[in-house]
Amino acid sequence: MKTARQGYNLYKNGLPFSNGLPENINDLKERIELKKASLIVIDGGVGEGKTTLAVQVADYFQQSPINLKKQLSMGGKEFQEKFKVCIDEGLRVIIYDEAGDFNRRGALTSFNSMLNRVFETYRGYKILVILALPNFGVLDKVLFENQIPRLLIHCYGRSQNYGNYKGYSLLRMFYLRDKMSRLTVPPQAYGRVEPNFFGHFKDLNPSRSQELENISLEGKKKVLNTNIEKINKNLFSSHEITKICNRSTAWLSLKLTELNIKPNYKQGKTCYYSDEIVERLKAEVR
Amino acid sequence: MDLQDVTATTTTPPADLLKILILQRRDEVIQSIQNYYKMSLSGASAPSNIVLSRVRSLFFDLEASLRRTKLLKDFTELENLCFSNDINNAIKGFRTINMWLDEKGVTKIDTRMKIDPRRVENENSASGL
Repeated sequence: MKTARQGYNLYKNGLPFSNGLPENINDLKERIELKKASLIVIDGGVGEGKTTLAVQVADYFQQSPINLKKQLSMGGKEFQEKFKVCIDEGLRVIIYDEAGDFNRRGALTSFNSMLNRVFETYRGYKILVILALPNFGVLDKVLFENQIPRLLIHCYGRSQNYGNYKGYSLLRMFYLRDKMSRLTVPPQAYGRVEPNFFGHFKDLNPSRSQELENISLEGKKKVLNTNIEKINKNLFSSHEITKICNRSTAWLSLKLTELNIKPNYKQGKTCYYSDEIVERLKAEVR
Repeated sequence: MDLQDVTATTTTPPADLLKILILQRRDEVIQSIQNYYKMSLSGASAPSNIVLSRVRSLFFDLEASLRRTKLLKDFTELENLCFSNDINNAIKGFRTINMWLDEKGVTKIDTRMKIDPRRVENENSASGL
């Protein structure tokens, strides 16, 4: 069969990544058909092409370009929503790009328990989950003991034209985790465990790359807008108010109920209050 | 078993013991063939009686199993070869037994599973994951 190199961003095999990876994705496809939980983890530093490779792997798995709006989720909440959409619409692959989701305190615990729950409940739907995150070491031990991650793809040394990847089996992931826990510089572990395969990948085509960037920026814009709104309206979070009033969170909670004060703005579980409310609360201290 | 009992001994199962005896007898046949060739290739007249008798002994050891697993035609053919007075036929018979022993896993040495390390699922399943 003739495989034409359509454009600059394909290899001789007609794919945007070199040989080694497609065979392993095919093996995982067989596993998913048997209703076994399967997770591909893509890790690497910032800007190494994790999301790009995740999209390419998902495209190959689905044998058609994935719908980025439905199958690419940024953050835990979005992941759960889109996972349901994938089940309803019969889509077979979903990407979870953490996109800085783990910066939040306690996010990791909830993330790990969510992943466990997802795989325990939904493996029957035969959906492949691709997880892109900076360091796979943050994943819970239980996930590995349940043998859910099957393939680790480590992205590194991205240049202007292409990126590099190394592939590790679950067996080698255990060794990597062990090495990481012993080393002062954990990323050095990748140099101490031999990968199963390695190769290169190219960029997405310009239109798709733009689409991906727009979606990524949309998520970041939301966070930025929230911060701007908070600054513009001169709002204070509950935590900030406790510092200003020099009182405990329990005291604040009690006063807010007593005075029947509602937050001016709410983002997730965090409540924000205007400076007038802060003044009222300050008066309560005296 | 009482772990404090220092007089307790471990035993080898009968099937394993028989395997060892068969391997020993096979080795003796190879030794005698080696000696036969050593003499005949140097130009001396080599007696074939040791080879012939040892091949027959090996056949006796395996007779029941051979009769059970081989087709009657093949078994009779092998029996004729092993009991032939011609040393070349006896060696031919021994080689057939040798192949049969490998087939049954008695002398098989390449038992290690071959896995392609480039396929992660192969490696995962070979490691019991």
